[in-house]
Amino acid sequence: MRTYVIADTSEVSGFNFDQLVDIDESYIRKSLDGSKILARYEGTQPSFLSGKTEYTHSEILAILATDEWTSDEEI
Amino acid sequence: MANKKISALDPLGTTPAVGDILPITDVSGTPTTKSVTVANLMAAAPVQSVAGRTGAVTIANTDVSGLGTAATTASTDFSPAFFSTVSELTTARTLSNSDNGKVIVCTNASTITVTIPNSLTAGFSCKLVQGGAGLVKVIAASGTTLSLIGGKNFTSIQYQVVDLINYGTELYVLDSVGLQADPTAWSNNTYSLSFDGSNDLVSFTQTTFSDGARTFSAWVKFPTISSVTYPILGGSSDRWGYNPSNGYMYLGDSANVHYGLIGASSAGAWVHLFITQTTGGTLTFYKDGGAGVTPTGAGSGAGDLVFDNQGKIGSTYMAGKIDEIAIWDSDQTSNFSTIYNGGSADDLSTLNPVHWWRNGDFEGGTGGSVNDQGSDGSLDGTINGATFDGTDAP
Repeated sequence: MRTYVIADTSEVSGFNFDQLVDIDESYIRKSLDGSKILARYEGTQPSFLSGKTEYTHSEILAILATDEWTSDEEI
Repeated sequence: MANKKISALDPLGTTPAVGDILPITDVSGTPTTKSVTVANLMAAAPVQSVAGRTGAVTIANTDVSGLGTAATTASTDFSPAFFSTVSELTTARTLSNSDNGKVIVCTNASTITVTIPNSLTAGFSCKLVQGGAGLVKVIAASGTTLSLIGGKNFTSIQYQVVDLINYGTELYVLDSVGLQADPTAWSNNTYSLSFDGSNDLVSFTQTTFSDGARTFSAWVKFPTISSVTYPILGGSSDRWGYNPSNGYMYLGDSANVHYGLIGASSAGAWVHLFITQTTGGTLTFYKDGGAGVTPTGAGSGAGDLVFDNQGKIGSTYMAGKIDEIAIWDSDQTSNFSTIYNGGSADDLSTLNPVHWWRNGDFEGGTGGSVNDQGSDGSLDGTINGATFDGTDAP
């Protein structure tokens, strides 16, 4: 089961990507203004994300579909 | 006791007892009396020659019988013959007796073919390691037999180790967990790649697909139907996308995209998407083997297209499955029916696509990459988050 959290971009330096789905920082998804990032993991929540709100797949897709994360101008 | 000559000693009447001392005389120097021990005997009479050679004694491989040529021709020192690790950087290696007992690390990015010749000595064995992205393939040359279990003679993943063992006259077996049959051979379509819509993609080297005659083919499936143009191939501004809700397909860049109404899709149904462009630039869009649609767009053709991934256009990500993406640098209109195959993905190898991602069937559904099985073969993809599904394929 994959779990999703949103964090501030400044926090990415503390991420251990061995515990995340995304390969490294270059692959991580950012909000359109670059201020937030999406972190994804499977299994137990990594300690460096402790306290973050966890989202399910359907919950995060609803968030990512907003103007904060997805541009309306594509295609 | 002073030294005595043997002739001056009292004779022994019977077999010497344990406590009796027998004298021996050094080869040179002052005669002394010594007890009879192995050390003293060896010191008094050292080995003076081997195989007719005198002086300092070195035992050569050829002085030892019964080791066979695998050992005796490997080296004058047995250590490298049995304990060396050998690096194989090319895509082909024919084994030799000097490989006996060694670890052969194959690190080419493409498939490495290891051939067993009929010249190896009985008892030959070695270990083969897939040290890089290229799979290790083991085959037997004429005069040898490689007995396979289930026809499996390919490694599946990096760092897999294969034991090659001789078990009879020119008879060999492979021992490893996770061997696979030739992944390039078509054995139906089992796997697809599933994208979760949040950040899953498959990246590859940014590549320009030049304007002119060309063809794009792919199978997609959506668990739910939303009015989103989902990316099949994407780049920084170029895209091939399809909206399963309104039924439009798109090809081009944001400033000059060609779009055509090919029809909406149903949730949970595999859809075949197909685009041809003639040498003169005429584009035709197809869905599920239907009649071609001429898209709307400025200019002739869709221009040079720069792609670097499956599954992402800008901030939009694929939420569904993609399989069997194939690209030709030619107009494949005449093969459209063959490629669609009545709604079931088929072997495209005879049609020689330039790029062809099987999305799991070559990889056996494991690992973090998808191999480019096209004739160019240069665009292996790196998977970020997308997962192989071995139960759902078109």
